[in-house]
Amino acid sequence: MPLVFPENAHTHLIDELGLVDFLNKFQAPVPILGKTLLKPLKESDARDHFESLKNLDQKIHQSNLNALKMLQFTQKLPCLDAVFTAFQNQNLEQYELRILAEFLSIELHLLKLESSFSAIDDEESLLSTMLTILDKTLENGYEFIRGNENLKLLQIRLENIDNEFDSKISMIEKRIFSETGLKIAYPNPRERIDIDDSVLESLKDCSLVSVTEESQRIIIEVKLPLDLERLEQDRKQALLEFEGEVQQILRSVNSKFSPLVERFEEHYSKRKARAFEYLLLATAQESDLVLPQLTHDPILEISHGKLPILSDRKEDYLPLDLSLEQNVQVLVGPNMTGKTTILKTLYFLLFLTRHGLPVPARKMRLKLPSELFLHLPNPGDLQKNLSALGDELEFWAREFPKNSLVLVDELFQSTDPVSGAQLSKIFLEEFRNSGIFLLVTSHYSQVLKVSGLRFLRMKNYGGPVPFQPETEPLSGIESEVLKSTLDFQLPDRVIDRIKKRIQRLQKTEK
Amino acid sequence: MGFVSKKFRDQGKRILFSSVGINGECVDTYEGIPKPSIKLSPGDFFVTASAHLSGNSGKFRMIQCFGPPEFSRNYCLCQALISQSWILEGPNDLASLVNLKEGLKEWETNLIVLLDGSIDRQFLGHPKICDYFYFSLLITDRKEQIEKASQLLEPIHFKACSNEQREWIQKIVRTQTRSLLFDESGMLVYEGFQPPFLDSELKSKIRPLASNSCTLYLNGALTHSLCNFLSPYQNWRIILDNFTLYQRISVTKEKRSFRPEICLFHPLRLKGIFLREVSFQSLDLPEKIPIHNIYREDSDAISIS
Repeated sequence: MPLVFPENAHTHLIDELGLVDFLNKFQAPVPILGKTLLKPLKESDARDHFESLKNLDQKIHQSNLNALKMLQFTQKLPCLDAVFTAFQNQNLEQYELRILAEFLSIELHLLKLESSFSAIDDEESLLSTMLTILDKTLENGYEFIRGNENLKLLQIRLENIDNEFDSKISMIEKRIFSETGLKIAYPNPRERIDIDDSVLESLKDCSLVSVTEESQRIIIEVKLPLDLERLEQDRKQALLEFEGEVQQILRSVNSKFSPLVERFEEHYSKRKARAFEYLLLATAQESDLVLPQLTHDPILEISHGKLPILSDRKEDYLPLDLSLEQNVQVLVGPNMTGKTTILKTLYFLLFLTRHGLPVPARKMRLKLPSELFLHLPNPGDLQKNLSALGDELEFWAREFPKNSLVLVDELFQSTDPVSGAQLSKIFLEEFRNSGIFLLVTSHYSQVLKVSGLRFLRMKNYGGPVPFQPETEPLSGIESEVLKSTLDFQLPDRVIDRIKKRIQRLQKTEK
Repeated sequence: MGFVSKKFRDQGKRILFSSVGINGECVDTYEGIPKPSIKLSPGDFFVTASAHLSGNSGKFRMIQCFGPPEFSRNYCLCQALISQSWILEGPNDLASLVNLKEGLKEWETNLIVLLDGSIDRQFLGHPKICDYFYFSLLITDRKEQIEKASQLLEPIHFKACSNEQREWIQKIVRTQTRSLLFDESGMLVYEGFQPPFLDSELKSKIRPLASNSCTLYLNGALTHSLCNFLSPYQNWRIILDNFTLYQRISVTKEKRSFRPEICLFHPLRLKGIFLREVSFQSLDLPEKIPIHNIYREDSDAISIS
């Protein structure tokens, strides 16, 4: 997968909320990116990042291009990461030169495409200069070192020596076979474990082989006659000269590249950043994602936000429309109406935004929270010797930085209802106007009496809507909870009693 | 490698050399003895990791590079321009080798790829990778190696599974399937996704069926421990996906009688075996497979059949 979250972000929520699965949407292979580690961005960096993405997207569209096409071109660029060390040390060899030529050829095409929305003059001139150097060094589609006459002659000389050597050594092998009855293929020695004395004698008498007796085996090797030894020497000499010629070509090309290294490195890292941007924009285009709009105003507005792990598999999934203020918000409503899902969706969308990714929503405007916190009801932690209440208190004991987003499900449901309601009131009053975005869900009616809070309630088969507890009494919750229990296969007698209770409640409400 | 390449060259075939793992070093790191080098002639094609091209500029034509993300590193398709020894190191896993084959097909369809590699790389037996095999046995005289070679030859005698069994498996098997357990009537009892020797659920499904005549398909190693577990199951058939999964090599000091019948889903297509003189005395050589005694004085190749 090209994109990965940092290891310290690997909480159980990453799996539960399908964050890793979401990254699969960005799996188009982009060789120059390799594996890109996503990091949580600071507010100003995130603003620059999304602003730059938005501008780029607009420019691409104005040029009648699209991000997907740009990405497809970028995907053809080979990764040069391994080449840069050789580049800096001025020891580029044939392989590196070939890869570099491939990169430059594609990159120049890409720059031409981008010329309709980016200034490329300097860049184009740098790359063209480099490609001209390579054109003079490599030939035939950059497959061969472009050798001078001398190099070509040396190659022919080597081939002739090899042919002469092969023909002579073949005759020697035949002679050895006829003199000793032993097949041998130069330069590999023969090993024998048991051998007839007569064969051993004939081997020792043969001037073309050397025989070495070891403890358990006899090793027989071809003894090269003088003319073949001379040929071998000639070959070594020709090879040295060949290598010397190639070295000279490489030295020359490396010295020509030397003054360009720094600028090219700069260009390459810009290209990598642009490749990342194309990947994000193309995936957003393909997967119907939007770029969050970061504002300085303390708001958090989400229109049609989705949690793909649910929206992909539930036909009746209801996307989230929500607006939060930089204050305390209390979300109330019957069980199983989606309060927890709202918290998880918020965490999911904000986690993506903090990591610079487009999000599954129709629109999202927000002041980027400095940190994200989510507390879900749990049975406590045996390892830390914490009860459910202890675990929740430990969560509240931390310092929440200004402008952080704190999400708490079922506030103080971890203790008895009387203490839970009291603790809820204390903490909500304490965090009023503290400069954080706080959203809690609660079943305690007592919290509705706390002043200075913003209240949201779950609409029937709908998302959260603001309400005023003083003017809009919270009715119908009991009957809604009771109705939701009828979806389960409970004993018939229990079902009858629940139905009767619902009827009574409905009469009272009327 | 030299013998096989010569054979194909004589037939006018285009050959490409590569290797699974590193081959072509001067010394065998396990045995500590000199190894014959891989000498390529001008015009020979090869695939090797880019690192092994260093210091050889000018001596090759670089045709194509296969790199990340499909490959863990850069592998280069080259053509030798002068005669010399090369270190070959090609991709070392199933997915990369399949990708390489696809890439090579795009470049040249009529190509024989000679892959040098150790048979303990199980993916080599996958039909997507190798069409045919040559076994080269007994580089040394060590007793352990002779035993290993002897056990390596065991799967040669395994028959192909029946068409009926093949149909059962083909209907169900998925890429991630590691085991399939069928009852006597061919009904699926269990599908496992873990390596079979680690799959405790598989074993718990097998135990109650001990007295039946069941079929177990394995796409994971039939290790020594799994062999021991399955040994008493008379009238059972073990169908190995391919021969490389048979891994009793080097572990059979105390041979227990293995009662199930073993057969292969993908039959082993063995083209030949290379041996030294001493091998003939100690190995149970198969019939109808050409045996090449590379050191025999009067012939380059003999066939036992």
